[in-house]
Amino acid sequence: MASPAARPKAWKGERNVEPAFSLENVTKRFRRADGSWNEAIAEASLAVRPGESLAVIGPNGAGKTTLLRLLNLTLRPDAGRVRVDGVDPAGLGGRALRRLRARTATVFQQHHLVPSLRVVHNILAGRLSAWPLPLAAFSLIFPREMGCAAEAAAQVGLLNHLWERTDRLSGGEQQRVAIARALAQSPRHILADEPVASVDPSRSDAVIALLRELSDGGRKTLIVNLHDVALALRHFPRIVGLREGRVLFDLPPERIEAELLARLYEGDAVFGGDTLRWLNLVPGLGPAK
Amino acid sequence: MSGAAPQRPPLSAGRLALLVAAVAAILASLKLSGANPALLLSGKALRSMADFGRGFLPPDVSPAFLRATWKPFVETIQLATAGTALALALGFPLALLAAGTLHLGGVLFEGDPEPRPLARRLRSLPYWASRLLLNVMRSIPELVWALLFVRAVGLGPAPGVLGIGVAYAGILGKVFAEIIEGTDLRPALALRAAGASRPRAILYGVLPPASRTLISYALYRWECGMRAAAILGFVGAGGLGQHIEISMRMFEHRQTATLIIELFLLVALTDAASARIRKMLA
Repeated sequence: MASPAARPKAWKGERNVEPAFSLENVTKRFRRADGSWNEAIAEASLAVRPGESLAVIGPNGAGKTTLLRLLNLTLRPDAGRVRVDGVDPAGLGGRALRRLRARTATVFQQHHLVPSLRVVHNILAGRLSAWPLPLAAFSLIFPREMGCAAEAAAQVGLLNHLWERTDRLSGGEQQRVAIARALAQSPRHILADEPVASVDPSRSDAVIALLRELSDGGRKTLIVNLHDVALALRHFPRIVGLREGRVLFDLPPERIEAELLARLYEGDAVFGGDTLRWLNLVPGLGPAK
Repeated sequence: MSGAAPQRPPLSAGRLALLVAAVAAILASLKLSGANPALLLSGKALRSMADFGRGFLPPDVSPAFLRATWKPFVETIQLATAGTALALALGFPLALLAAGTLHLGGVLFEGDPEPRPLARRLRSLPYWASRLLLNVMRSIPELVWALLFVRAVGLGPAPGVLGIGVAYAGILGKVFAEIIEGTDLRPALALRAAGASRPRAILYGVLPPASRTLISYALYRWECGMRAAAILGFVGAGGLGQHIEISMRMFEHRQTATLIIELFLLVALTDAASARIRKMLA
């Protein structure tokens, strides 16, 4: 898909590029309220090429969010190894770790924007890692790098809302502000956690298409957690099924069968015993046996 | 599927004990202080209060006196404003150090390299030091601070400003730290995930959402500062308080009445002004 010439300079001429992300036998545990341990990610392995797009699907509690936080380096694995662009963050000091984190932008499920700030500042917050503290403070009064903010806002169609307070926007518009903040970061990789969870269902295709277009245009890696299987199958060339912290399958959409999905969602509260009937609604899949 | 609603859990013994203890403490302190509300309503008390009160009427509104009170009126505002500004300048940085969520680990530290044991212990040092300092500043009332500063800088408004500044910095610092601790840290975590350092994530992710509450509380303290400035006048800091004290000593009760009305107007004006500012910022 990607012609080598269009790749960023760092990869030019390299035949065997390092994976953008790699997980080797990664385990991440959390303590439950009763003191027992829950393995959110259990000996998972995964490799993602630079510029690749993939969707992670799976039931609630499968570990999708934990996986994303391991990849954006805000969680450390209890066992195994996570690498970003071939770099293992385990041994890095604070500054080097921040520089590595700055390569990856994350769009969160609840946006995590600052509601009382204007849109322009929420977008420019993506530039923070590149700004010294006094300049960052100064920018809250006289915004710097307006060109960057305007470009990012234009890419998500919010140029006219740049000076509005973020909490005055609709949920869908706030979602696009979060995407614009990610773009302002000029990242190599974009992660998105359930980006359509708070968006009108009729708009979810548009949001995913926008993410795909923005990442493809910039040859950026894109990993999206999705609850909606149909949406994932429609938009992504690679689908990873996560169940109980393990990679159940890692396939192109045309090779995903109803039985596989039934196993992925077995016992899930949303699809419950109705999984098979629900699977029939997914376009492109034959009736389940 | 039974139709009965789940039973309300019984009142916990701990909470019940707390309630009983609170009521007992109030009753005990009333008894200990010898305060007897009935005494206020006795005929003798009412009569002597009425006699005293009559001395204040009518307030002295002669133009000469009103002109003479203009300067102390403005002085009181200056005293309160300068004191509160000093309190902000001292209290806000201390609050940033005393907010545990910014220093003692938690969300803002997730995924960061594990500090060495010594560094970890040093990390909490500014937190404990600022808490201690704020406690000392707060536990000594502004009046006592002002008297201490009179020794250092002499009589006049300066010890008043310093007194309000230090005592209020203790209060502002503690309340600001609690407001910051109560702020949602997820926007800041998002910025950390994007590679921002902790101070930068705090600057964009924590302070803007907290700012409205912080400003609101600072304005309330400014209003309290007006009253405190009047009290400090009694010990020679100037302003309305000093004139109230002089007029009372001279038994010029009608002038005292005018000055008290002016003090009331001052507090009411401050309240109106801060409400307006809050509205503008909302």
